[in-house]
Amino acid sequence: MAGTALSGCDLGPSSTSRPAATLPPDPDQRLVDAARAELRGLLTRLSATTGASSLVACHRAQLAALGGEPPAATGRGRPLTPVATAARERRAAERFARWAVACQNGDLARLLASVAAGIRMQPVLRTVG
Amino acid sequence: MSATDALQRTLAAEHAAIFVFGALGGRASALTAPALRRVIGTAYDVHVTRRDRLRALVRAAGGDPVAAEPAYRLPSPLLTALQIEAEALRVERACATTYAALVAETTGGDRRWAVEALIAVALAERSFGGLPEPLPGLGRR
Repeated sequence: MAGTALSGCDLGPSSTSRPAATLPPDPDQRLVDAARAELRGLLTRLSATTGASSLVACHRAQLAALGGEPPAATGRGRPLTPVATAARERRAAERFARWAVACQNGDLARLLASVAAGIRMQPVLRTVG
Repeated sequence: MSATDALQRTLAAEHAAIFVFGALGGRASALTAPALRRVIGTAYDVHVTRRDRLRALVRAAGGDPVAAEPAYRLPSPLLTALQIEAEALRVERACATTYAALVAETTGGDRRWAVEALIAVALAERSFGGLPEPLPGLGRR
């Protein structure tokens, strides 16, 4: 999968040649961190869940687009039941949609919204419509 | 690009989608494919609703909503259910890309609406054989 990995650090007004000590804080960095943590948490649980390989692949691609690294110890989380999987995915989609609205950087907003849409497309949430 | 420009570009995309879905509905009516006719009809109605909302948003932003073109180019042939479905999917994917761009160019309530539209368009892709993808609207990856 090709594509540009985005992060709050890359997208903020801080991408200048000024010394690091003078860089203003990235207003979206907390959102980026939260988004990566959300996907890493899902990957940890889904990697231990039977029949979740397509979701794992989806979230790995999304995490890569956000410039995040997948959790090292995949497969060690507790598996999720199908109902719990749907609930976690639904919650994640809602969070990404909310973060897309809240963040300041437009390109990051587009990526977060796309992640929300990508989660909603997954068969596990098909009944949500 | 300003938010108004992005709204106008999205409105133009919806004009095109409405034209194409109208034509696809006509082509589908010649087939014995009631399910396809139904989903095309639903998609047409949804795009009309979004077009009307976009017109209102452009006006609210102080702009003059762009008009539809007299006609749009349709691919040929569109004779089978598969061909019609493929064109419908192409249109929905194009709209997903447009709404993703609108998300980037708007803020507040307009962006919230654009996010919801992007999600809805991604879900509509499934009605026309679209497979789940990790990042809809960001281009084929």
